[in-house]
Amino acid sequence: MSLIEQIVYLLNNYGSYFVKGLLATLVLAIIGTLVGLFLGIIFALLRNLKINKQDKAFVKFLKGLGKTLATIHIELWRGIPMMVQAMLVFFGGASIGIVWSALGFSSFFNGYMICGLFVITVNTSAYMAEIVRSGMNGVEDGQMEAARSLGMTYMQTIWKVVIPQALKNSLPTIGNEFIVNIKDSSVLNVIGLTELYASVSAATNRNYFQIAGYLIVAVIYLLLTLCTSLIIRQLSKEKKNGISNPFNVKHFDENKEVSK
Amino acid sequence: MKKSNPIISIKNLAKSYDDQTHVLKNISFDINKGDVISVIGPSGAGKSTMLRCINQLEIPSKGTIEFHGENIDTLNINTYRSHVGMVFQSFNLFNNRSVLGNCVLPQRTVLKRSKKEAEKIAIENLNLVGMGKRMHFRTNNISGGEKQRVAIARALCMNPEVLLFDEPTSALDPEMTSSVLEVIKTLVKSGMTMVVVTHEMQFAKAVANKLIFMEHGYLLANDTPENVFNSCKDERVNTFLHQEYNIDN
Repeated sequence: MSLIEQIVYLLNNYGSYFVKGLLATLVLAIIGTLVGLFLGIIFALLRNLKINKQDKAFVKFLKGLGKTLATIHIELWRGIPMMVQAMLVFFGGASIGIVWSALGFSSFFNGYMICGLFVITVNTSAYMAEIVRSGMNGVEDGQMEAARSLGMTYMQTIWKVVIPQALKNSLPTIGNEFIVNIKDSSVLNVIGLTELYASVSAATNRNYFQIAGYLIVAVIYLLLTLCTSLIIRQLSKEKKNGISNPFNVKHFDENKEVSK
Repeated sequence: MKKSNPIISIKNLAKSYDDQTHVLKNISFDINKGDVISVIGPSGAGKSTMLRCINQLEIPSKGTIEFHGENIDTLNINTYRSHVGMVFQSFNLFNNRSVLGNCVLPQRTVLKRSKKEAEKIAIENLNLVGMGKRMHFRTNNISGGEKQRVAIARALCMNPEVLLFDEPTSALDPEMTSSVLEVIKTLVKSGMTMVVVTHEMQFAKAVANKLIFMEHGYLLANDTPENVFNSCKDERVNTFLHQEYNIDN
């Protein structure tokens, strides 16, 4: 059988394997990136806490604790390969009573998927924390001062003024992190999670068409990452166009945003 | 809050960094209702730091600031700040909001006004500063002078009792400067209480009822502009006005 025939054979007979794998990869990448981003914002805020001279001793202690915990979290999850983290969480879970393989809400969100989601989300949150923190540091101090001078609280200023600008600054890097997650979710096959990469072994363990199988997933991975790049580029372009087109009144109408 | 004059009373205000760099030394003065106070002096005199201390963007090292007779340390800092507006040299408009959004956001978050009411007040104030037609523009798409006028409208939306201007025209060319000064003059006519740190000596002379001269952190003169310009006894004040602004006593 030629390579082309092998590919056609695999797609005809094991197409559903690849679709299921693709679905699992997408769920891992999307949820991992979005929830990771949300947690990352919180860790970035904690790590960026400033301890002022005039703070009371208890506030100083709390700020110091938050900063230290965030730093430990970021360094720990960034410093260890995700494959090792996945094994530690999977087998470590059992030692504290969480038997991941026995968990399962449905056939799709089974214990392996939940464990995988946990690992990819927490791992992403560490990277996102640093991405968001660098985005926040790029926002001029004057933005914070203006908001505070008008009577807005620190948290109001952070959520309504600083974070939106930090996220806009970091949009390309956040998109990059999503692409990394699409590809790196493949390492989660070590805990038995059948995502896109693992679907190849399932589809080829009887026919040995490995090259054809891996070519199929390579093309799917490439399509996913190219589409993501395109969307991110389009989003960034729209922002740029918005700035250079002052007369597009509709584009600038932020009434909806105001009502939030 | 009990009402009494002055609105803000500054007593023996001092600010130092690292206990070595003394930026403000023993500053005392009152801001009464309707006052238009111009603060002048060479760069590094502590003028901006003093304004920032009044708005609590800087925490004074010593001294007290009273708002209607109450020490501001005992007040809610955010409520106090909403009564004391501030306009910055570098405008500091929120880059993620439109012109209208800049005026609406603080009203919604601090004063908890409804969207409709906040927008109505925002549009009124934007019209007052001549920016009503550009309310849907992004802040990146308007000129420096327009940005400063929006910043003034944003501060006015909070109905402040006092407005603090920190060199509002220093970053602007002469044409834009005059447009911003016109807006400030309109506010003076409406009776707004304000403290203006400025290098625009003619403006200071024309609109202020009090003139404060600062140097090296000291307050060297606090009198009517006529008295400061014509009969100030402090030699340093006279030298500065003569040298820097060619104003001869």
